[in-house]
Amino acid sequence: MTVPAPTPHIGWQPTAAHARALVGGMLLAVVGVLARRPDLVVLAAPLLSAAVWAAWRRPTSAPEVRQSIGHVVLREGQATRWHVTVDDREGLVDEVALMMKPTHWSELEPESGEAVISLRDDDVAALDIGVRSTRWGRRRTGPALVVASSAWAAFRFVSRDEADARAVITLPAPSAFDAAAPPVRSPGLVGVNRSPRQGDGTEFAGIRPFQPGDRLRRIHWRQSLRAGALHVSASWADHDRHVVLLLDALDDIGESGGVDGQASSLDICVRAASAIAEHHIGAGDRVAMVLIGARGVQRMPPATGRRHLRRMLDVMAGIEPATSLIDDGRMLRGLGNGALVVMLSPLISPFALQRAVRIASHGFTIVVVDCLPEDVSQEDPDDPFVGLAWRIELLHRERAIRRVREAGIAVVPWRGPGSLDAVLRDLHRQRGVRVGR
Amino acid sequence: MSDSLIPESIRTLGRVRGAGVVARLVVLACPVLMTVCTDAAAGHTLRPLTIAIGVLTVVCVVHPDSHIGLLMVVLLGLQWLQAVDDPATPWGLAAATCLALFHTALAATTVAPPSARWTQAIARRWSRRGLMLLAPGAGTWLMIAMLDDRRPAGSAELLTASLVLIALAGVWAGTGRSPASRR
Repeated sequence: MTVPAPTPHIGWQPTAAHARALVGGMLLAVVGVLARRPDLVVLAAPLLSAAVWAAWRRPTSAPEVRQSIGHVVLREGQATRWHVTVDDREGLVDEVALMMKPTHWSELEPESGEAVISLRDDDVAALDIGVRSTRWGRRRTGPALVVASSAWAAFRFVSRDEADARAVITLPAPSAFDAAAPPVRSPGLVGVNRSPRQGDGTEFAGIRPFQPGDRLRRIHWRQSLRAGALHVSASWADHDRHVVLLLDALDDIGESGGVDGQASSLDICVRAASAIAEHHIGAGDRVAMVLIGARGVQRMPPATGRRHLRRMLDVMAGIEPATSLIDDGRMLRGLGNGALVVMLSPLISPFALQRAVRIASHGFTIVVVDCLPEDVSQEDPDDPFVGLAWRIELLHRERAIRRVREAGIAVVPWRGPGSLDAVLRDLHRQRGVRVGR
Repeated sequence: MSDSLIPESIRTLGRVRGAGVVARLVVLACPVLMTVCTDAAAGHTLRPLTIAIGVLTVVCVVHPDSHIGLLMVVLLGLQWLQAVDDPATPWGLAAATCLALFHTALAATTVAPPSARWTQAIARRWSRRGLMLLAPGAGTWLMIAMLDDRRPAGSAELLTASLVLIALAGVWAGTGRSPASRR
């Protein structure tokens, strides 16, 4: 089948097969009659029969074609179905074929995106094509080209309405991430995490002698009777944890192979940010996000809950790497004392590290996650200087990272579960000492 | 046909699977068999037409949804007309069968995209149609074989009526409406 040009609403059109049967058959018959050659009429008879049959079974009204998609929000690697239903009121449609072109980051099932059914004999009125999204992002899917054929493939109806296309959002698949380290200590007294200080909380800390100001309901009567002096149950104070994710989308280094292939730096950034956000929101923490990419600086205020997580993932799905620096350089707003800033960056652009140093200089706790893929290399067989320039760039990067580390900022490569454990444990201890003073 | 289309067509042909391959093989075989029938009936074929038919058969397989098929029908008919002298030869029935199967297979290849998997119902339907199309050819040949000995005299009225009938049938089959209703 040759893919016809998308010309919707033109109704049933005769095909080359009908022209062949009709014109070929008539030509043979007329020549046979004029040349007194009845054997040509024998040759013409099957063709004319097919033409008459096809004309007799010619559909007059357009079938109703509906296209839909199972899910418009997917995770990387997840699949949904593209449905096409054809309502043929006259019952004159024989075959319905569907053709769908795969987009850059999608896989189709069947792989060719082509399918055909017999509308009357196969007892189905719907065609399905599996669509699997292999990379995060917002993409347009469909519409499929639907071609209905009448008897003898003599007439054809083509439907391809651009309005049937759907925008599919593919959320980043979270990398496996779990942090077993205790939270960085913050000075607040509300929240779901245990504070390093004793106070008015829910978790039992011990029994101590009564002090002025203690609430009467905290008196531990059994211990007080035994000791002959008032004692109270002490508890750990609760505190809130505030995490700010700072995503650097100024560069996308390496080639992305989708969820099944190698990851580019932006893939690692987005998947890591998604994993960290899911982990902290699952733990009841407030998470904010600052995104530096093609659309300038996007900010999401701190909040908690699944709905907030979904909003964050939506924003991450829309990330596009910037072609030039679009960083307003402003300090992050809404950073409370004790907030943990996690910067995710391939650390190629010096601006990312400068920003990290500036945040740290304001007294905030910052961890820089290095998202540059391990095996990335820039080589051009025609130009040996490309490889050389890349190695020089990497040396610059190493030096910049070393300086940042010397300034007291932790830089850790992304390694999935437990990537941040060691550094968070250190930060917990450091903050504990600071609080103790 | 532009040069840029040729590699794409060949690529498309490489994606054909299952029943689509069988249909294309039938498309490839039928013109060859019809040429064999012509040769058997006449004892010779017209070399330039045979070469043209061979080349166009391959083009038909690559571009089944084109008017090359119509050109093939015309060339096959022309070769038969030029080479064969006996109108009632039994090879005429075989030639009509080849032409019917050629048309059926070529039409069948256009209902499905190249790499789409045909359902059993589609394959059964087109096989049934191909067999049903043999009946008109066989019936016409039988009638001609019976009338061949009688040699009826020519009639101008009958000729005119036949041509008008064919023209009306052609108009109806092409548009789905009679000439009267079009007005």
